[in-house]
Amino acid sequence: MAYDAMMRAEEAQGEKEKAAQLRQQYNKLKESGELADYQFGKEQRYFGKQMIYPSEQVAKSLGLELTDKTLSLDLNGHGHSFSFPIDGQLASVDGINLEVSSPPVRYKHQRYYLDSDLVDVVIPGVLNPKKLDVLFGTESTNFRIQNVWLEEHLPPQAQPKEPRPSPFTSGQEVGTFVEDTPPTQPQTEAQHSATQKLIDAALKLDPSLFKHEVESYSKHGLIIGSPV
Amino acid sequence: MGADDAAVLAEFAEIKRASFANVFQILFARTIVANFPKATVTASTAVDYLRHPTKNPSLVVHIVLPNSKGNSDDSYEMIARSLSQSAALLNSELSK
Repeated sequence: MAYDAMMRAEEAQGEKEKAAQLRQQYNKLKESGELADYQFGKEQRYFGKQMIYPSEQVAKSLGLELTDKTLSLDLNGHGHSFSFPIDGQLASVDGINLEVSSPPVRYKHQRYYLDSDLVDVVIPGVLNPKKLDVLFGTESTNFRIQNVWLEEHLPPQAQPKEPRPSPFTSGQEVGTFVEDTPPTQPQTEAQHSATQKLIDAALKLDPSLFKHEVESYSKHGLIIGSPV
Repeated sequence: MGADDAAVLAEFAEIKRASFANVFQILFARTIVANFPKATVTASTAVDYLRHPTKNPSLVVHIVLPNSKGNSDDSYEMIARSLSQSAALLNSELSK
């Protein structure tokens, strides 16, 4: 925040070169994890494109117990468990595997930091979906899942060189796939067929809930909104 | 309301929607495991081409069933039911 204010001040005074230098310095500090904001005594640190929070702070604010294990960082409480591997992207949420984009980051003094998306989006949603309304101060108690869109293909760029190729079924919002081979193998006709069978079964089961689209990726999200 | 305020509210709404989507994903995965004890379920929000790794509510759930269940029509129906149940469960939670 201080950097932001300084850059704005320099720009306002026409000191474009100084502002550019400050921005360069700011970006360098952000990349290295040296830059942090402190709001109401809470730390949020920048690390590249990530924003991260100290794990102890997260545990305390959510009322969870933090355990720093050799291979993972665990948060437990309120009947839920979250385990984030130190070196890997497969977290465990209530025993369910969840691929996440950002594992815990170790910063100075051996402290671990957790990604803000996990802390702000994933964990609170699991702990108490309704509480989110209170947090954001908006009236959305009428939010509902209205439709689940299913799609049989992932976009082409996901296919050959991805670390997790395309054993998935995709869904516009919920991708599901059924197959009996390990996830590291590329998608096969059998897998595609399994996906299609699942979509057919879902559409037959409840056409009012399930919708089907063919490779219209990004047109829809999970349709959550107030009933009309 | 100014453009900045609208942008902030839109961002909050997107985070909230994404949170619901993540919860839905976890609920669905749990239902699958409950119905197919030997199944492996991996819910993924970390796909590179998604606009945002966790905020985009497009979800991918990878299900590996035991070989004996892989080609059964009943299995597909049960998974579809699990999706439906998970939506109903989350809607129920939200209406409490």
